[in-house]
Amino acid sequence: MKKTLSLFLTGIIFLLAPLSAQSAEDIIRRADKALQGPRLYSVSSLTIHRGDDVQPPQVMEGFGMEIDGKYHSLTVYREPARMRGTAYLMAGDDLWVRFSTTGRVRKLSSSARKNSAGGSDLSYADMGEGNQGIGSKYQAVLRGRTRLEGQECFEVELTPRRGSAAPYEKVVATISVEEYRYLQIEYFEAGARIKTMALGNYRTVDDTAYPFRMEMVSHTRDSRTVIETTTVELDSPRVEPRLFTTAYLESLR
Amino acid sequence: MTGPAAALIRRVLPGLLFVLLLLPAGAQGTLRGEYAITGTGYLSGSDGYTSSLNPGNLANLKDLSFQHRLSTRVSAGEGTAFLDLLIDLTPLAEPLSGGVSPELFNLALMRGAVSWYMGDGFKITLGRQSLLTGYGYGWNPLDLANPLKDPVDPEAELAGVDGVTVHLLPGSSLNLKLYGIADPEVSGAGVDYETISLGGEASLVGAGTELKVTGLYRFDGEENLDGPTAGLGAGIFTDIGGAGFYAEASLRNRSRTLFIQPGGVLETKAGPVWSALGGAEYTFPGGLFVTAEYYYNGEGYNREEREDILSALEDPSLLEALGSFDQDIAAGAAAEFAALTEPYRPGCYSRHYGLVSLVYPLYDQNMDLSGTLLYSFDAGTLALQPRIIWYASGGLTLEAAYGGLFDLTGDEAGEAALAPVKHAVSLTGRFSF
Repeated sequence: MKKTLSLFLTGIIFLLAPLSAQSAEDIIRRADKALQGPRLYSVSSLTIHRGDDVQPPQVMEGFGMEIDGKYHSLTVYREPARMRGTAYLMAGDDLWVRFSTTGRVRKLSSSARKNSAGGSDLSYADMGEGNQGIGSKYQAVLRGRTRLEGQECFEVELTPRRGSAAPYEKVVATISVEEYRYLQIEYFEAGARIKTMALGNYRTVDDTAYPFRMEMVSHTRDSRTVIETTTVELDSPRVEPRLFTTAYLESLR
Repeated sequence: MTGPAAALIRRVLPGLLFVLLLLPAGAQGTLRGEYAITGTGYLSGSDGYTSSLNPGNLANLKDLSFQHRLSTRVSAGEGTAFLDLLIDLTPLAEPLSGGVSPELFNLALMRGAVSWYMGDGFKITLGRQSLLTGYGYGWNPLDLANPLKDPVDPEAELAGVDGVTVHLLPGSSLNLKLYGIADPEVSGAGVDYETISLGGEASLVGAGTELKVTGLYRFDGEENLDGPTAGLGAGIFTDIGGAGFYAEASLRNRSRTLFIQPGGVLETKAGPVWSALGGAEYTFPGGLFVTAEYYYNGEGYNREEREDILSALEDPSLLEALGSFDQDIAAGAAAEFAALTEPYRPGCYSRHYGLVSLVYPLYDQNMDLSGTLLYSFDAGTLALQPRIIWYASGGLTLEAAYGGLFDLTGDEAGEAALAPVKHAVSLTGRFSF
């Protein structure tokens, strides 16, 4: 009898697990839509806060689009003066960096994608892959529901898909139930939560709600980075395939 | 023209041209740049700054020196057409005394190029441009078009080369570059058609691996130290477990370096001359970025060749002529001696090199700690260069560095033994605008 019950329960779990996973994947897919665009252009200001010290803002242009089934992103620093012209191009898991000091374009290994971008609390991967959406590299499991900022939210746990070069061991996303908006994303490494991103100030751009403010708080040091987006263009004519080549990186000034 | 008028023109004209050039261009495009001042203190040895390369301190080296550099970049264009101008202004040493006079300076056009995109798959660039390529940090044997970079300071900006480049971008994973470049103008009178070189580069990227193939053909095939040499190159970069592994190799039809031939004549070495590099880089979770490379320098000198150079430098008759009271004899000897010093390039002098570069960002302090270790396996010379870089503000960067050369094997013909300065400290203030 016990054996029969055990088999029955196991069967139920196996039947329900895909439904739950499917549901979580759907939640992530809907939330990712706000960050994605067929041809996404943005201008953002990134300010690093270290304790009471506030760094000069870093202004950057972002370009993103999918080419041949692979997401490509280009980030170009415009301010401050010493970083102007620094750029990084990500094509899938490949990373090239243009150094403004020499104008040289250098390919870097995938380990560099975890490196801090411009000394901020965001990595190259966070910057380049943010507009790709989380779902592409992680598989989602719904952990349950929670409340955040007075809103009913889904709590979704994401772990790297097999074979994907996902930069984090685990990600926990808190997504509003009503509008499927990311409100918080927590990043884990070696079993510990290392940083948390809060997303807010959603504004509608071409029928899509886009977060114009993001704040990444580090849990390993006294530091946080605020990204204020000033311009977002979806399906932007500024975004062309030629931008995502090393030839274009070389011509950047 | 001589006299006060000439002095006035010499003093004012370059600066005036500089301003005239920048004002209109700056109004239409963006103007940015950097001013850097470096104070360098040499630590002299027991013989002062005298070495086989600098007998009796011929180069008139002083304990403390200041280097100024104003680098100005004008860029313009949006969409499909771009302009890039980069002009460096540096003080010029007096030809005779070696001293630096405030009214003597050098304006160098490092870049001056226009680019035009025709659709997504075609780009043409005309003018003085950078054709730097390769994966190596210290050396790039794959790079056939550019002058040798300095492995002791591989991030220093190099002057571009004059030419036309056509980029063909048939897909996101393939990049083709075809170019025609001219030898640098030496006389200011231009160059002949025969000195034009045609080159090409193909890059193919996919699944974490990138391949590059380069080639360069010279019409005259002649020796020209200021221009590139014909050759073929290939390179690969691949990502394994998050680490980047790369290799480059080239085969040239002759060396770009001079060798002492029987009879004491300096000539380049006829090929084939091959060079190769293997390296790896990795970024650790804490941010430490490590690069390690091995370089076989086919254009470098083996022990016997280095000893030939040392013997020529220490030739008693040449040293006697250098100290002659007859100015013609002394000037002739100085020119001959200067030619003998040309082969000496730290980091490219011997055949086998290893390099380790470390960069550790201290984000909380807005600092980078970095260090480069360069070792010549066959000459036993160790070069160390630790640096601290402080990003004081959005525009100001301060950098303190030490550079040291150590002779670990007692090789009298090695880089450390020849160097007149073995230890130096420097402080650089750099303001970007």
